[in-house]
Amino acid sequence: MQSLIYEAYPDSQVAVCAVNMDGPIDHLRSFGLVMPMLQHADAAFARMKLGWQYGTYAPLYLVIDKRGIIRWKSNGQGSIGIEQVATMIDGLLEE
Amino acid sequence: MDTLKKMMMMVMMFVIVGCGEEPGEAPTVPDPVVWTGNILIHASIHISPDSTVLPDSVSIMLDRDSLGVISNFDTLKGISEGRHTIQCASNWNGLLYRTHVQQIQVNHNVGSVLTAYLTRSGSLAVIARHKGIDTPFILKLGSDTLDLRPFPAPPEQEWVEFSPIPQGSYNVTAYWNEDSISIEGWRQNVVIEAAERTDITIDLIEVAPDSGAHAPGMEALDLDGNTWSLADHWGKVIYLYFYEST
Repeated sequence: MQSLIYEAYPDSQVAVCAVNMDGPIDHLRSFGLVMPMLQHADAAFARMKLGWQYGTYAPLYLVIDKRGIIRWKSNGQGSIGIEQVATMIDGLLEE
Repeated sequence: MDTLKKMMMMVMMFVIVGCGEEPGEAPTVPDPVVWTGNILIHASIHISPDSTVLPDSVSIMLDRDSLGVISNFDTLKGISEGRHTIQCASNWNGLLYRTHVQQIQVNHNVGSVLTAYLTRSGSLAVIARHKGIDTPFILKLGSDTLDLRPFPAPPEQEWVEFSPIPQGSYNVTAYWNEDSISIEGWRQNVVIEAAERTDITIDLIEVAPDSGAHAPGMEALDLDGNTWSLADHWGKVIYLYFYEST
């Protein structure tokens, strides 16, 4: 879903990024991904920090508004789809 | 129709979102009494796949007052602090169905304002109040931590002055720690010009690990080894996905 979101918002008003929490992701290079893919140098520390900061672990989806406020957080459970996320992003862009 | 009732289940998730005060006129200290609050509502209706009836609308009632039809995500603004009741209702084939009334507690996590302005003499003056109380804090302008005078300021002075700051464009960050909770001002780009006074107001937000709080800073490496920082993207809507591949 995140790559679809990335492609839906090519302008600079939306930042889309996927963050790998468990080590090197050099193998992903061969997939020709266009979306920013990030990795932490210290995966164990990154996981611990994520848990401490957000009270949960991966998978974790976040939508953050222009002021830096977390407006939506999900562990991927439930039925939310790309349309709902896009609607939410569209609304936040108008704020 | 009873079957339809069973098929319809509304799930409402309430997330309290703080909203900062409107900028006041420096150098007066912002009134700490008036807080505003938002409630971010995520409402969804789960319908059985074999249902042939769709709801006409979904509406929200707050304290028995109808707030009208909402979309899947909506924000109610200006909710006062305290206990409220909230209820979701739907028109379904001409009949009205309601969820049970839920009690919600609205706590505004923003009670803090930092007001800074450039004085005539070219120094940056700062007022920092956390829920009406003078609070020690750290201010960063760009990547430099400013050299603060002792705070709180003397009684006759409501602000702290920093050394003259060159004209330019800066990212301003303010934060302090209280009971192990980091409180941050969102990064705000400020252009300091040779005007008599430049007013800057920064909302300070408790960094709590949940929706409605300020997103903690994050840095990671991209595939090329370059550093990607969340702070570089403030001002945009950000969609982040954390995952583990194993």
